[in-house]
Amino acid sequence: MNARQSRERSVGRGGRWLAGLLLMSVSLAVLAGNLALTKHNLTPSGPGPVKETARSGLCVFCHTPHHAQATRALWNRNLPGITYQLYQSPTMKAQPGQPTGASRLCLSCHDGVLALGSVRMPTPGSQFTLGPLTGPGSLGTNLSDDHPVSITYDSALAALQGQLVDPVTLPPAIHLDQNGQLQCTACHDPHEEINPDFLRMDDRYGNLCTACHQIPFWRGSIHATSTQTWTGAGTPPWPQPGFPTVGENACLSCHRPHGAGHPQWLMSQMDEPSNCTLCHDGTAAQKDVATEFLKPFHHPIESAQWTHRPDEDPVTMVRHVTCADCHNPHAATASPSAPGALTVGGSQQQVSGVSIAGAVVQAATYKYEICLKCHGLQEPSTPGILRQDATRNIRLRLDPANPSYHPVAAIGKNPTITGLDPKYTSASQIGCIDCHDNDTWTAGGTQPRGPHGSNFRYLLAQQYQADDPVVESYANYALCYKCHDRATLLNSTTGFPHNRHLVLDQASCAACHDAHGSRNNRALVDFMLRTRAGLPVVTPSSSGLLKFVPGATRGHGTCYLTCHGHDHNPSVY
Amino acid sequence: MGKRKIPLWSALVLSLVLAGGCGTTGTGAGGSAAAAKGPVWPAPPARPRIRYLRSIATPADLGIRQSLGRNWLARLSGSRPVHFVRPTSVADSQGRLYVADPGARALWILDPTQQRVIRVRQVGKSLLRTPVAVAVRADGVAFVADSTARRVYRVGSDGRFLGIAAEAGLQRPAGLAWDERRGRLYVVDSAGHRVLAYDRNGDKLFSWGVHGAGVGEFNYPTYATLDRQGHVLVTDSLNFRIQAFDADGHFLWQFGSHGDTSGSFALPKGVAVDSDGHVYVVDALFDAVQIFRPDGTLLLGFGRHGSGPGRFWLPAGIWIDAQDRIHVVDTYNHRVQVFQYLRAARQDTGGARP
Repeated sequence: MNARQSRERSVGRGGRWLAGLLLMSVSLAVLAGNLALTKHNLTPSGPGPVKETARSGLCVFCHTPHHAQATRALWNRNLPGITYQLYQSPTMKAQPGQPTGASRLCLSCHDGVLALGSVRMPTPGSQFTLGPLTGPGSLGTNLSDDHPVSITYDSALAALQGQLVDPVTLPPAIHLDQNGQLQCTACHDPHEEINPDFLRMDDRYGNLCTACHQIPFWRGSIHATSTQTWTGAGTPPWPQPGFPTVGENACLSCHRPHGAGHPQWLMSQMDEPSNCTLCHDGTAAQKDVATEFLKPFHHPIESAQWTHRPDEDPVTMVRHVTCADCHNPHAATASPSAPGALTVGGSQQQVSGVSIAGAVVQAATYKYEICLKCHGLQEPSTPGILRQDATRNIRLRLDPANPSYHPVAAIGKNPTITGLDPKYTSASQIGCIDCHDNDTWTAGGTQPRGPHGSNFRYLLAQQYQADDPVVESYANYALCYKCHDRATLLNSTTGFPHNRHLVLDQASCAACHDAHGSRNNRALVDFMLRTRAGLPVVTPSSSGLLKFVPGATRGHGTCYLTCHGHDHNPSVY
Repeated sequence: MGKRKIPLWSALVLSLVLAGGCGTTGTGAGGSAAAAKGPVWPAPPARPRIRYLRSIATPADLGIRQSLGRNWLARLSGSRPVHFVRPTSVADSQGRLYVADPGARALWILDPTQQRVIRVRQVGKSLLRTPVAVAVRADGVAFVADSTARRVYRVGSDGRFLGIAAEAGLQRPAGLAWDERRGRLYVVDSAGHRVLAYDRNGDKLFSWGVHGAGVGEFNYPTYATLDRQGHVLVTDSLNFRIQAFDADGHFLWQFGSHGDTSGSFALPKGVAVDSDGHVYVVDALFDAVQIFRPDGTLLLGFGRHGSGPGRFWLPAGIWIDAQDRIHVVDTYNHRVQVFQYLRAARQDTGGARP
């Protein structure tokens, strides 16, 4: 064992030690170096370059140094000192909203004092109203406006929830803690700020969110792919600076994982319709829908109080309306429906509805099924026209089993109908929006089609005076004359004398016809007993009868009633 | 950086003794006035120093009955009861309890005498964003620090907005302490690493402190309190110590070290002083309150992680009233716990003997 050999041997062993030490210190140095450059560098080094000696001090703010000896308390000298369990302590029945594990560590500093960090910090740009106590104003200790943490995320949860990825297939970037719980550290790496906000994954196109949340039909939907940008006007729809396009912001266009305006579903805005209208007012989306709801007659989305739930049962739900009742933001696509199509277009994909038979359908096939969800199950409570058949349940009137109905759910019952606009035949079908539509829509404009708002009562595309009396003119019945030719009606010498009733006696179409359907008579005959204001229109005849008896063939009939002082007892045509 | 588990035998002894202490009522020691109900610390046979009184999470806990007629809050929020959400700081004055609750974005004022609870959400034209600290004057006017808005507001005892007490130059106002005798408000600026003093009109008097680890320097200070001499005690959280200054900001003394054992700090937050001059420091990560003499001698630690009486979940602020009732804000248990400091009949120096 000469000197050289022993030297070589010691170098061999020492070399391995050295290499190991070097490797560890290099990786620690890299980690520390990265950490030193982030906001988590909490060393009291003041302004200026980070000092070399601060490297060991960097870690202690979260990794509390261990003391070998615990101090004995003077008032309790019988017992030795305590070593505290800082964040590995058993969960001890944590309630929702009580952080465990690594989240304890994060939230001990992210408390609004040591760090603001957007825990329960209002997001810049979210609109605040002092309205009724909904959203974060709701009282209760587990309504957090932040993404839940300290929850067990296992296969059972994924199966129960239905829209979560099984955690065994999570990408490696997402870290559950050793108890299988989702903590702050699932999405954030407190050591390195490779992505902004210490995120573990780049959140472009919602990659971070969709790593766990698998929303059906999201992939090809318009909100996931749109290249629209925000004009910069009004409140920003996504947290600034954000990404340039809607598709890149993806989930953040409507949701906030921290500081949500409305805690349930972590919606970004406290005011329910604002979540949609912040973009759909022309500042990001192509069409301006928001202005439609300012018209005098509109679906009252401004009254939405977060009643809507995605899993609601139309049969038992409390009556309400919000954008999400007719549009599914996760599934909507850009392809509009063809003109005159009865089936739902891209904007109404995967929306629940009620079929003409009254059954709930999870994804409506026909546009009218979405309308019937609210207008086809219950009677409305607002004042309206009173007819001989008092129902205002539209579904019951459009029912193809009725003797007459506008052909929405099925082809009409009158094969010999005349006087139709050439576009239509007796075999045509129409949709709700052929009558209930935007009254100011122009081709190529920024206004959308659809029953959002109208200047005409009943959200109609054109005027229809359903009052009594009404001076006959094209303008007053423009909606009807759109399809039913005015000249044919007023000039015909056979069939019902429309001219006398409409022009001479100034009775409205609505005095005899219900626009949706009649359960008792053909030709949509269902006499108006009282107007919206409650004034009487059609009353029984002198013999106390109020009815229409159809003749053997169309174009003939008998009426028993009194109207405008004229006693029909009976009158026959 | 590893943790060493408590040796099994001492853990067993500890848990047995603590369980016994928490379960039994105070025995012997000449039946003192308070019909001893709550758990005491330290556990017998040591002389009890701290007794658990009660928890306050809803107005009902203070005997405030909410009737629909009188309480507009109950009407608006429907049938859901009023409850603290994520409180961080508490103070009382004139029998009213003031709780700063950034989780509810509000300052709660609970008044058992008038049987009402006021929830202050709006301050002038703004809304409270993160009201993290509160201090109260003897006349019932409250100061609320809003760390996000970078302001300290003045709010009347009826919840009325009175004005902005401090704003200019504040980076992140956190802890507040009000000196009734001198008419001074001390504001701890956490991200500014300094303490500012204002007079009763809101005019800035002076400030002290820079970012650092030396004497009189701060690293993210959080809460502050005053002792009976008007000295200002500041929790210098990320230097893991308490520093004390005189009323004009001159350094007096400090104590504290960083560690995971009793007598050190892992994340100190609220600080308060009882009538005997003992310093109480809330440690959020210990889920405990530790009591020291001003020279840093550890007297007692009470509290453990959990949800029951005497258990805490990331506690924050602390306030001791004139009757030595200790209010600890138990943030993630959404409540304020109240304890009684059991003062000895004669002058107590901190106890060379039990």
